[in-house]
Amino acid sequence: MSDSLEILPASRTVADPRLDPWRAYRVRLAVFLFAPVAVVVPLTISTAVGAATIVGERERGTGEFLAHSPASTREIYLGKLIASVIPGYVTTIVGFGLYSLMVNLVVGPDVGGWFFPTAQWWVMMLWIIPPFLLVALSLVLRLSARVRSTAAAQQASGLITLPMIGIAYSQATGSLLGSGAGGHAGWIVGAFAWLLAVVSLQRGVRSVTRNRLLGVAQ
Amino acid sequence: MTLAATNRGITPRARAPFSAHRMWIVARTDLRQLLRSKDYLLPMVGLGMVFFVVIPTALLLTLTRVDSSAMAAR
Repeated sequence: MSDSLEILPASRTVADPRLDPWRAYRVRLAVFLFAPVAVVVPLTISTAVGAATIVGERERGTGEFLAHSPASTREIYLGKLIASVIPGYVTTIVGFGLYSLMVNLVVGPDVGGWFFPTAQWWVMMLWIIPPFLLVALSLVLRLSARVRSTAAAQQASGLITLPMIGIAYSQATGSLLGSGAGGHAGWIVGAFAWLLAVVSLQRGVRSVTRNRLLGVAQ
Repeated sequence: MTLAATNRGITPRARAPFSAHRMWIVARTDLRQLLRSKDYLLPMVGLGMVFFVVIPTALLLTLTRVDSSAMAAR
């Protein structure tokens, strides 16, 4: 473990030369090694909700009501997207708050007080994770509109979200480690992810049609 | 024939101006259903607790214990 921790950089905000190596490792562990969790949790929860959201309407027999409602397909798509994003993101924010509290209570005394979340974590939670979540969900909702059962949607969404988790994990970790671009990696990665999310959402809107909600699409 | 008639009847509605209110109604209905479902809420809370609280706390507290051990000294 100590070998693997050697490669982690000292956090700019918690770097303290007076720390003994073991305490410094603990600080770095708290700051850097749990980043993947912040990516996996929202994607897992939101994907589970998103996969069932449109095909679930058909299965419950409520797709017909939705298809004949005054809402346009765009409003339905975006409404379903919001209903899928909120549970995963809220769980992540609450969990992150608890994690911050725990880190500050357990590791905080080593660095002389509360130090977490660091600036990179704020960027990751508020700027990088949301667009990755939107990209994954735009793909999952497309699937949910096309398949014939919730089980099929969940199976197929697993195939989509696994690579998405990998990409989001590598990008989030890279930006957290502050590699490249003079420490602005997080902002740049987030900007690209937002661009990708907008394009993906624009294309995803077309996947929801009234015929698909009714279950009569070819 | 029926499908064509259905399409003719619904196409103009798809071009109606975007309404955030209607979008929110769709989202709110789904969120209400989720909040009422314990089958959904419990695993969600469990997943968040395990990944954000249980595992990190166990790991960091373990490291705190190791701090004073002979292993740390080595």
